[in-house]
Amino acid sequence: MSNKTKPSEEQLLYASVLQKISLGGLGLLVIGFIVYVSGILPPIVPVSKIPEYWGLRVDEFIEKTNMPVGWNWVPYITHGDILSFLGIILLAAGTVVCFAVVLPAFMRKKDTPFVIIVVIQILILLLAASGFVTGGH
Amino acid sequence: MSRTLRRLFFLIAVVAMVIGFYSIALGEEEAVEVVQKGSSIVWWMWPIILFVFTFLLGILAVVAGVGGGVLFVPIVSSFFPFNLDFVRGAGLLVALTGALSAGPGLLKRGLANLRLALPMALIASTCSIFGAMVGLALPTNVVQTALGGTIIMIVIIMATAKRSDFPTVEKADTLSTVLRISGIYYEESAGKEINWQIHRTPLGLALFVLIGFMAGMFGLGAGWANVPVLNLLLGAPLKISVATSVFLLSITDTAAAWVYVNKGAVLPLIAAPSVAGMMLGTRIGVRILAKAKPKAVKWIVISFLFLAGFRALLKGLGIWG
Repeated sequence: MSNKTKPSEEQLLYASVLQKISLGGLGLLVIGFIVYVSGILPPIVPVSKIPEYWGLRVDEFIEKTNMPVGWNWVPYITHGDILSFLGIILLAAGTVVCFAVVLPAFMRKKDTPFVIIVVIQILILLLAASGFVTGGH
Repeated sequence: MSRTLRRLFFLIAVVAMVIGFYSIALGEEEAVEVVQKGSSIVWWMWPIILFVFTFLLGILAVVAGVGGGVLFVPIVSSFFPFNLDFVRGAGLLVALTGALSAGPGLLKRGLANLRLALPMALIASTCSIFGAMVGLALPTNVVQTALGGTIIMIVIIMATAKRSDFPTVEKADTLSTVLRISGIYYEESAGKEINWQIHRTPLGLALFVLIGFMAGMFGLGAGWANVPVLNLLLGAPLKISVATSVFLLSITDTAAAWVYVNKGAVLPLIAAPSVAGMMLGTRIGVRILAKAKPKAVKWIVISFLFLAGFRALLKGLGIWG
């Protein structure tokens, strides 16, 4: 790869962080799932009961199972079904971490338009992750 | 018939059989009124069947050059007993993990372009949040009907859209010049470095409002829309468009996925086997791709997608539930 075709410093940094988080998230997803279905940790809703509810809309599902929503799952981390969420959370959080890592690189280059874009993007993702914006019916 | 083609047809037959068995199983459930109990199949069979199904779907998706996310939601929601809310949540994760897995390699090779992706991703991810909120708020039959209509539209786009390896961009527009969206990449097939720039950036950004909204609302990956916009409208080379589209998905789908996760619409029992099956299938698909004849498979998958879209439409309208 010549110097002209070599990706930018921030692009390589983004890729490197994304790769580590993706692998970690996928590993955690698989491990969490095995823990969940094997019953090593007690779940809030037994796995065998889930088929009774998976045909319901999500609001009805939550109402019947009392599963925590938003970030209320944190205190229940020792439950198998909640633990299996960790991989999903890490996968979903990966992008915002990557943006936070590349932001200083854009700032060093005084690349103002992209500093603004990255800052707004981080805020948007944090807003989505916060749980303040959810659909409902 | 070559060995590879025989294998592919075998896989398609297995997929069709799985769907057939499921339809029969569901029909019998309804007959004996055990739908509320889920099914007569022991619970642990469901994740296994879903895993096998998404594994095959992953292979077909790669060979046909169609995103796994766009296949997952209409097919699984049409033929599996899960509520559309959970299927969309899992669908977003399927598309997201595919994008997260491929993204780093594409960025490192300089095929996906960060500067091209970020402005589009900002618009698409913001709108995907609204799409997810609307999708979770609307009645299921409305979303199902809209999904069916959207899938049929996607099939038409897939069947008719042309692609251009190296679109001609005489002059970059002002916005892309200010944002310095351009690049050089090494085109192996031509054995030379290709300079590229884009035009019509404001119109492209406007279209990403719609693309993001639909991705969030239906839990679909949006490669089917990203690629034509980046390639045909903005004028980015095809390889740059495809790679940047994959990377874009990792941002768009992340935003929407958070809405589904926080709402409780991601069931690990559905999401984990789907993600694992699709990832594994995609890897096998990449190996088969070197030997396969993608055009034939693409048409089979598009036909399959059309059927799933048609079924979703009829299901939403209450004609075939």
